[in-house]
Amino acid sequence: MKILNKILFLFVLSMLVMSAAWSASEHAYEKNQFGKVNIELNNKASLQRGAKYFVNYCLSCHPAKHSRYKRVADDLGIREDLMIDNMIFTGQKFGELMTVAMKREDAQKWFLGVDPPDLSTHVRAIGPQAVYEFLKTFYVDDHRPFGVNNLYLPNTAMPHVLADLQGLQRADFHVEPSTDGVEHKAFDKFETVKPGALSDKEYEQVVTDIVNFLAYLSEPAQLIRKKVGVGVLFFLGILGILAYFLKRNYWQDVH
Amino acid sequence: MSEQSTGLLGWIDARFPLSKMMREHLSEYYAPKNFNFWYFFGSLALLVLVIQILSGIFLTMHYKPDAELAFASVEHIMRDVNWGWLIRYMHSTGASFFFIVVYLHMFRGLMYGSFKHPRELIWLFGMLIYVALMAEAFMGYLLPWGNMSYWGAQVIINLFNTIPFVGEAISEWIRGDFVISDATLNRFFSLHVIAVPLALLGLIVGHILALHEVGSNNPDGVEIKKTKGADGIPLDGIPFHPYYTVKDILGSVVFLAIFAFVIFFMPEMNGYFLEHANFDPANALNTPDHIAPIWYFTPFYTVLRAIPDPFLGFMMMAMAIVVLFLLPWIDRNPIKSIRYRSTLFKVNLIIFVITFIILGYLGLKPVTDLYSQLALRFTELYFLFFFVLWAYSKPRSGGFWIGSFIVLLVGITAYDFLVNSSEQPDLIWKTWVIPAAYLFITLLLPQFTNWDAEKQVPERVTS
Amino acid sequence: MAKDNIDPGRRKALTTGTAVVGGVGAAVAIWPFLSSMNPSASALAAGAPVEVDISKMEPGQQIQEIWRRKPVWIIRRTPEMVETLPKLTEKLRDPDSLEESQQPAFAQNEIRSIKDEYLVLIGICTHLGCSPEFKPVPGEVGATWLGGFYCACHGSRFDLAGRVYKNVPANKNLEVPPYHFISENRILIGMTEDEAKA
Repeated sequence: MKILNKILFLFVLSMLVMSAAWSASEHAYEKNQFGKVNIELNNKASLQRGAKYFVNYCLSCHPAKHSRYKRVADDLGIREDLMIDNMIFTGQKFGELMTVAMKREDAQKWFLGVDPPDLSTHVRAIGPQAVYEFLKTFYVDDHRPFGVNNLYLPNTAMPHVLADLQGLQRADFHVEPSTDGVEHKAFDKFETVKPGALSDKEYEQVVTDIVNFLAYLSEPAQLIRKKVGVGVLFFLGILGILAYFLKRNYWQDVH
Repeated sequence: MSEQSTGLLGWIDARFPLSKMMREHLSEYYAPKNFNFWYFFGSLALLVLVIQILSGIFLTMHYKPDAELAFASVEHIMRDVNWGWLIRYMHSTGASFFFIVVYLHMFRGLMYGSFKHPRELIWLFGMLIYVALMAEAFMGYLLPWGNMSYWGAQVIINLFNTIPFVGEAISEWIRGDFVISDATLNRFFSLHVIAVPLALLGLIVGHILALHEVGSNNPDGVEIKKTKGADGIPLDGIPFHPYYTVKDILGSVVFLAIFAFVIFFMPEMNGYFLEHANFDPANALNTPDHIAPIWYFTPFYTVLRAIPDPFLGFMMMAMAIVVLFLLPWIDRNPIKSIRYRSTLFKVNLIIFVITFIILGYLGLKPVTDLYSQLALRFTELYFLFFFVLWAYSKPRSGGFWIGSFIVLLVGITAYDFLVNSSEQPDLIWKTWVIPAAYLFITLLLPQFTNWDAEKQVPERVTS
Repeated sequence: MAKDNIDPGRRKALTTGTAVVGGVGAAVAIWPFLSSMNPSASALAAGAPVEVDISKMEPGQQIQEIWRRKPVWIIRRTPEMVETLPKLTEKLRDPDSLEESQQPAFAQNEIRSIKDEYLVLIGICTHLGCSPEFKPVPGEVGATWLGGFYCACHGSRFDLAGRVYKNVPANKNLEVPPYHFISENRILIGMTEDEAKA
C-alpha cells in the first residue's frame, strides 16, 4: 500500500511539473532572443519612472480604467501634489480611475478598428515578457500605416510611440527553406537606421521600467500579498505544532 | 453523559436535541481506529465548503451580475475593496482545492471499497454532490465575465446543440439568448449563489446522515460493528470526538498551510487556477487562441473530444460520469479493501488513475493527430476499467477471460477500421498497442499467473 | 480506554493552548471580511472633499452642494441674522454645542462656523434624516420665529446656526461638516485646515 501511494504521488508530481514546463513559442524569432525582463516590484524608483513614462506615452490612448491615481501614488510613494501636477493630464481628481480622454470612436478610426486594450488588466493576460518584447521589436516597414511593424505582434495597429527615445531600426529577414510549401520568413537582426535620444542601454532601462510598472499595475495587491502570506504561514506553523502535540497526546489512549 | 444536563444546556436540551445530536454524531459516534491519511479528505471537503460559502457571501456584496459591469466589479474587488483580493483568491483557489479534495476523497472510496454494501447510498449521495459541485463550478466560472469565462461557457452550452431535434431549443433556453449574454450571466449568478449551494447543503447532510447510520468503512474494509464489547461499543471503534476531531484539526492546519501558500504565492497556479485569457474582458468577437476548460473538467472534456460524432461524444462524456454512479453494482467483489484484493486489481486501479490524469492533461492541450489518438485510447481505457472491475468481482473460468479478451480487442479494432481516421494512419496502429496491452494485462494474466490471488481478510482491523 | 500514565494537566494545557491560538487565528481571519464592508476606494473617491466657489453668493442666500452623497448647505448670513443667535439661548436644547459629534472643534461656539458670515451645515435633520427647509424670514414659522430651519417631516426647528430648539423631535444640532477656507472665496468641504496640512 505504501508503495502504491508513493508511486501515485510521484506520478501526480511529475505530471504537474511536465505541464507547468510546457509552453510553446510561435514567433518568428527565438524565445528570449531579446532577453528576459526582470520584474522588480521592490524597486520603487523603477516603478515611479515606469509610472511617469506610462502616463506620458501610454495613457493618452490606452486606459488603465480599473486603477486609481491615488492607489498608484500611495503604493509607489508619490506625493499627492506631485501626482496631481505632473501625472494627471485629464483634469481628473486624485481618487479617480485612470481613464483616457480619447473617445472610443476616435480610437477605432485611428487604429484601424482596434480598441487600444486596457493596460490595467491586459498585461496580466499576456504577461510582462510579451510587453517587453513588443516594445523592443518595432521596426521600419513602409507598408504599414504608421510606417512601423512589430516582430512580437506582426501588423500591429500601434505606432512606435517610443521612437523618439529608441530611434528607428530596420529588420533583416531571410527566407527559410520550405518544408510545407509555405514561405517562412525568419528574423536575422536589427540595424539602426535613425538613432534616438537614448542609447540602447538607456532605452532598455526605460522599457524595463514601463514593463515593471505594468506588472505592478495588473495586480497592485502583489506588493503586500506575499508579506501577508509569510505571516499567515508562520502562524499556521505554530498552530500546526500545537495541533500535532495535541493529537499525539490524545492518541496515546488509542495505541 | 446520560445524566440530565442543567443550566442553559439543560434548558435547550428540553426543547431541542442538542446534546443528543452532539453525542450521536461526535462523542458517541464510533469510528474505526485505523483511519489513515486518505481519511482526512471528507472533513477537509467540509472545510473547503465553509471557506467557499464565507468568501462567496462577501464577494456577492461587491460583485455585479451585469454584462456591462461584471468584469469591472471583479477588478473593483481586486483593487478597491479592502482585502478584496484576499477574499477573491480564497474563492478562486478554493474552487480548485474543492475538486482536489473531492477527487482524493473519491479515490479513497475506490481503494477501500467504501461504496459497497451497506454504503451504496452514501456513494450515491456523494456522486450527486460531485455533479452539483461541477454545476456550481461551471456557473461560477462565467461570473468574472472574462474572455475565457465567456467562450468556455459558450462552448460547453453549445454541447446541448448536439442533441437531435431539441438541442438548439435547449441551449437557447439555458442561455436565455442566442449567445451567452447578460441574461445568461444573471441566471448563472442566481443559480450559483443560491440554488446550487442549497442543493449541495441538503445533499451533504444526506451524505453524512447516511454515513453515520451505517458507520464508517476503514482501510481494512472490516465492519467494526461485527465485534462489539460487553458495553455494546465496537472494540475497534473510538469516539469521533475527541480522537478524530484532534486529528482532523491537525489535518486542517496542514491543509490550510498548503491552501494559504497557493493563495499568497501563486494564486494563478501558472494559469491552471486562474486562466490568463480571463484577465481580458468577455469579447463576443474575439475567441481566445486556445480554449481549455478549467483543469477539473478536462478529463471529461477529453472524452467528449475523443469521439468524432458530436452527439455520441456528448453521450460518452455523460456516460463517463453516469458509470461512476453505478460503481456499487459494478464491483461486486465481497472484499472491500485494496489491501486484500489481488495484485491485478491494484494494477488496474493504478492504470485507471494514470488514465484519468492523462485524460485531464490532454484536455488542456490543443487537438493534434497524436493527442486525438491518445484521447481515444485513454477514453477506451477509462471505460474498460469498469468492465475489468466487474470481471474481478468473482472467480471466472478460463473461457471467460479469453473470450472477453478476444471480444473486446476485436471490438476496438473494428472501431479503428470502421470509424477511426487520422491524418497519420500509422498513429492508429501505434496507439492501438495501449488498449491491447491493457486488455492483455488485465484479462489474460489471471489465466497465466497467480496475480489474481486474493488475501484473507482479517476479523479485526490491523493497526 | 484511557491509560494511567497520561498526565491530565499536560492534556488540558495543550487543549487550551491550541484553542487559544486557533481562536486568535480565527478572530484575525475575520478581520479582512469585516474590513471589506468598509467604504471601498471607489466610495472614498466619490466622497472626496468638494471645493465650492462662494464669490457670487448674495447676503442671505443659501446654496446646496453634495458631499459624500449628502446635501451640504452654505448660507451667507446677514449681520441681522447673526444678531438673532444670542437671543435664543433659553429656547435651545444645546446652545453651546456641547455634543461633540455634531461639529468639528472650530465650530463649537455660538455661531457654529469659522466666519460669522458663512454657515456650513449638513442638511439632514438629526431626528430621522429628512432634509429641513431654510426659513430665513422672521415670523415665517410661528409668531416668535426669528429665522432658521424647519423640518416638515416631524416639525423639528433649528435656528440660523443649525442649533435645535427644545421640545421638538430632533435632539441634536444640525451637523457641521469639516471644512476650511482655501482662499477668501473658496471653501473646501470635507477636510479641516489641520487635516489639509497633514
